[in-house]
Amino acid sequence: MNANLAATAQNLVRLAGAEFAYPGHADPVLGPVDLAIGEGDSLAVVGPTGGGKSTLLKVLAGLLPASRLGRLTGERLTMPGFRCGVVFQCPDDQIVSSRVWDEVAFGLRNAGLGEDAIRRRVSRSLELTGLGHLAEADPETLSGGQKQRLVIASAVALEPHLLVLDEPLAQLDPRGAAEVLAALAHLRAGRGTALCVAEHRLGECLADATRVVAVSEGMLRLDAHPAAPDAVNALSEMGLRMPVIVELARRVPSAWLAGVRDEAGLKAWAEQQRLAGSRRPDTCRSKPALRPKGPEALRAEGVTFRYARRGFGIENLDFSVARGERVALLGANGSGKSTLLGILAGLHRPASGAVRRAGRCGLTFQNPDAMLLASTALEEAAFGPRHAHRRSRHEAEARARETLAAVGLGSRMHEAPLALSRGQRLRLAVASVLSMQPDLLLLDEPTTGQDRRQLESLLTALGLACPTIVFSTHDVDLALEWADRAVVMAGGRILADGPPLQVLNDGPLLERAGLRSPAVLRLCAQLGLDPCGSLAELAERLEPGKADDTGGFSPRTVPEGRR
Amino acid sequence: MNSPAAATAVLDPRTKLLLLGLAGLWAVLLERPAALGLCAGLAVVALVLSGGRPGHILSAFAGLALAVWGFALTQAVFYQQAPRTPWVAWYPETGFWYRLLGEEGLAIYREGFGYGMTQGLRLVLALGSGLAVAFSTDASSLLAALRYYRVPFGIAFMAVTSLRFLPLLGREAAMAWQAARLRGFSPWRCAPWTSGAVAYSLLRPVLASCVRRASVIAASVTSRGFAPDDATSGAAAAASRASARTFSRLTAFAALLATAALLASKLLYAAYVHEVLYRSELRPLYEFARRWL
Repeated sequence: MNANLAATAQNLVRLAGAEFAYPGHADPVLGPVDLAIGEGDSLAVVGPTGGGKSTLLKVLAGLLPASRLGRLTGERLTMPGFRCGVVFQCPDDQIVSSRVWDEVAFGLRNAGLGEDAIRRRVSRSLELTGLGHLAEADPETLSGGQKQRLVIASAVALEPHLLVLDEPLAQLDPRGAAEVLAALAHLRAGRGTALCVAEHRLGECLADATRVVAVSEGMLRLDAHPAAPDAVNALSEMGLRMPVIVELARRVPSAWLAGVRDEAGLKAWAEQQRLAGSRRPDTCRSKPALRPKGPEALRAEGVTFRYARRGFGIENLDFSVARGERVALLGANGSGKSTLLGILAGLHRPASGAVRRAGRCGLTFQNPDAMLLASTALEEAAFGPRHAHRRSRHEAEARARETLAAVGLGSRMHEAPLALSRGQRLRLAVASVLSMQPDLLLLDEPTTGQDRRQLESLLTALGLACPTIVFSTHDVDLALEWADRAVVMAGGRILADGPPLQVLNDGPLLERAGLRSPAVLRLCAQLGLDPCGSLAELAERLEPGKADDTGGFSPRTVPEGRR
Repeated sequence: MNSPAAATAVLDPRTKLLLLGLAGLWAVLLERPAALGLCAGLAVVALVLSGGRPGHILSAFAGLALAVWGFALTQAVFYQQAPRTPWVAWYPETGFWYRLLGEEGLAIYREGFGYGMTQGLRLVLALGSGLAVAFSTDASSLLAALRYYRVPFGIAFMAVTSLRFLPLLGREAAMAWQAARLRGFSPWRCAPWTSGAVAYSLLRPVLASCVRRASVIAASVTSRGFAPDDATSGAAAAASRASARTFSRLTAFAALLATAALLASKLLYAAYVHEVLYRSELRPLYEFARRWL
């Protein structure tokens, strides 16, 4: 049904009653869907993990059904000569050449263009994505953001009418994400290329979107302007993490009723309310209310570690964690967060220095799939107790059942781990570590690719199961609201270590570390307020006694007594 | 993957592929351990000069040595042809070992060891040459060279892409191993069958990742106009039209000449052995082929 017909004068591509089913499945995973994309459109495709976003994008791009794989019914209409570029989440999986220039030229050579035309287009695409100076580089040597921009450049070189991007920011640090978003904005402004971006980071992807399209359980639930009240309500009901400004407005009734949907609107509203100048530092509840620290759970002293090939690693680092603490490790890609976690877990042996652990230590990787070895979720969670604690099969499985129930996978224990959704796979990986009852849990990027509902469910389970947690993340908002301590790293060294509110409010420090300020703190600064540690507190300060303290994402999602 | 300073980088990729093909042919044609050892030695030298990372080269050496030793040992033990001369023999008369080994006992045969070494050297010659080419040639040059030899684009592309992703596979396997180790698995503390089962289960995440990555690559290259059966596809054209340097041409010519001589010698010797053709003036050649080829 992939007809190459003129849809309408404005439409680049249109799906009319399109349904897609994978081979061997009678029920479609997508549709029926009616969706049209016109010139200059910028769509943010949002929805819970496993809801059908990627399938929709592939159908739009004409990649599904691939030869004999799957069945598309309904219509997919494209304008004559329609070209579509596709960018996926992980740039490493898409780069096929060993030179940046060749990678961009790959598609052009496939199109049979002459060498002169190829040279012109490659140069233009590299300039457009800010990679002109790296034309001769080996893609392996690029940063995550540069690699993703290279993939975008490869797609852009084909001069597509529509560029489809499936979670292009998921693996990038804030600086890399900003680079990619700037390249996309430049592309849209300069070429008028229509964009269709599926992303969990709504705050970032909705900023330039003209339409937000929500997909859940294979159906199109919403197609509206991002600021439309219907859109906000629908996205919230789907359990998606809204842009902070929208979350804030929803919590402050008068702001919401006044139609505040963006930062400019909030500022105008605040000025109207004469709040902008009213600094009330004494009433700020979010001043570092540090919980009493327990005895030390772990201490690393003078630790140095270097990778044999890459050279860099960790340099003479001192670090300690007290029992009951939640520590967020922050930093750009390659700053040493994962290496430090590996050293703390005993995975890497430091060249000098020592690590002392007061109990058992569990580590989950950034890619949970690498940890899933067993044929059922139950066996997976029982693996640790069986091998580490030498428990009998019966005892290990009993322990595994408890842990799976705690992370919300009690009904999935007989399913194959790799058949679970991405969020469930991460929770299973965490459960497989929690079942060993660690005294300290180390989590490498637990937020990657998780929607809000999954993240809250995971954090709630973690808060109940293991009080001492060190986690690395790019999500500064999560670190501000959930951690007791923020540790900022760069170049294998610790740049700052302290209460999140203090560390994450230090603009020059964050700039130096390649991070950005949390949205809540940015809003506080814009409104001229003292920094607040959470959205709930900011809402309370904006409209004392009236703020709606529901929803959102705050420390109280974890019972205090268990922290 | 490549280093401009590598000694083997002075050769044109097409010449390297030609040499690789000829190395495979020589590995099949040669039978005498001395000649095979000489050629395998040359392959090892090429591997050393390939400019690959020291870790990769050392790993390759370890793998090749293990393979040769494995071939030699298994053939030395299980060699069934006659004549065979036992170097070491053990004939248990009673008990478990007698029941297991029977009256034949356990022996290590000299001829079997030699036969195994020959097979191992063949492997070193072919695999060492292949690794030298892979370490010293970047992906696009390799693709162009394959296309020059009219290898279908789909196959050439898949071959080159698989080379690029091999290190990633290695890293993922290592990660799965670390995940098992962090959860208390140690091959030294488990029964062998448990270790075997865990080792097998390590394949699961690696294979799942391969399938996922393959589908992403397929979608990505398809969206960029790649079609495996499209004659105009690919990065082949430009590089395949480039002319090779004189040194590369001379090397290719010498290798082809040597292969033709080897083939002719083996054919004439085979004709003599099977009493198809005998000429007295060729006796030195027969003697050379018998002793050295």
